[in-house]
Amino acid sequence: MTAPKEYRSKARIYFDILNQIAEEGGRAGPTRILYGANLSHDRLTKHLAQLINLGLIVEEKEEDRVFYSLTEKGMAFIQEFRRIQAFAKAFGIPI
Amino acid sequence: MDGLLFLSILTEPVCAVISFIISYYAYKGYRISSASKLFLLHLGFLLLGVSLLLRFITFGFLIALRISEPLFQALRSKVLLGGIVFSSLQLIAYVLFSVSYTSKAESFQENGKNLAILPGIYIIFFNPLLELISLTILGYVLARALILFIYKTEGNSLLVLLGFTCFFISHLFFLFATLGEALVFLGQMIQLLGYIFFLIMLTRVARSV
Repeated sequence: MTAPKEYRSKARIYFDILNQIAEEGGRAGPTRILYGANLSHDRLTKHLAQLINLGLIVEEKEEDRVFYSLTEKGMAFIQEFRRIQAFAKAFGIPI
Repeated sequence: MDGLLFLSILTEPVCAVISFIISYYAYKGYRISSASKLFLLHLGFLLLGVSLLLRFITFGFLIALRISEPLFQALRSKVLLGGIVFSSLQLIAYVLFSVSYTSKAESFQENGKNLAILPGIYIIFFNPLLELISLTILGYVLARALILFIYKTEGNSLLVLLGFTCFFISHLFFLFATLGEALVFLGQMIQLLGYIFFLIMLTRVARSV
């Protein structure tokens, strides 16, 4: 029997994607992000487009490869999310 | 005015400010994460802050009136009602916490005779029945905080547990407020200590990244 899937909020998914890019040194390809953030290809594409629109990441093309880099706003989001996560955790609130 | 009572009243705006800071942080968290429980936490601390500030302002207003015994008797029902409103706001705040868990100094030298009744007025703000209900709800919140700490054994959870423990103990003192103003003073000091624990937790969180 498999464990029930844990619900992830939109903000949590954004954080997981951005955090994965941060762990890769601030720049990562879609495959790395896909595995790290545990998302399907379709959903990842949709979320990456939203993150670009929000100015949290930028898309960079090198020959035929695509990379995503964190912006300063993206780094700030990660830090703020970590603080909020620690705060919520102290009250037993999952986010 | 009695020094203990004066100090007791002074702790209220300090606690209110800390309460507003926690409320703001919870709201910020809600805006980022959309976690509804953080919104409940925000509302809870907001109500606690409003309740403390209202009690402080109302009592300050009564002091400013240089209230006399006949006037106090005339206002007694209104003061009682005010006490119920403040305690009810706190009660709602504690209910929100339970759901969210998975004075200004003036010259008191003159009019000393009139001011002698002030401790009596201040104590009226603490309604025993509502204090008892507060204790029951806080007991539940405390139990949840304790369980959370046992599972997580994390510093911030311990600070939250200590904060709610102080709130619980302070209401225990407020329950017996009619026995003497020293109990109110002790309750206020323990309540302030509880807010300080929450403030330390916030500082740790802010520095954690």
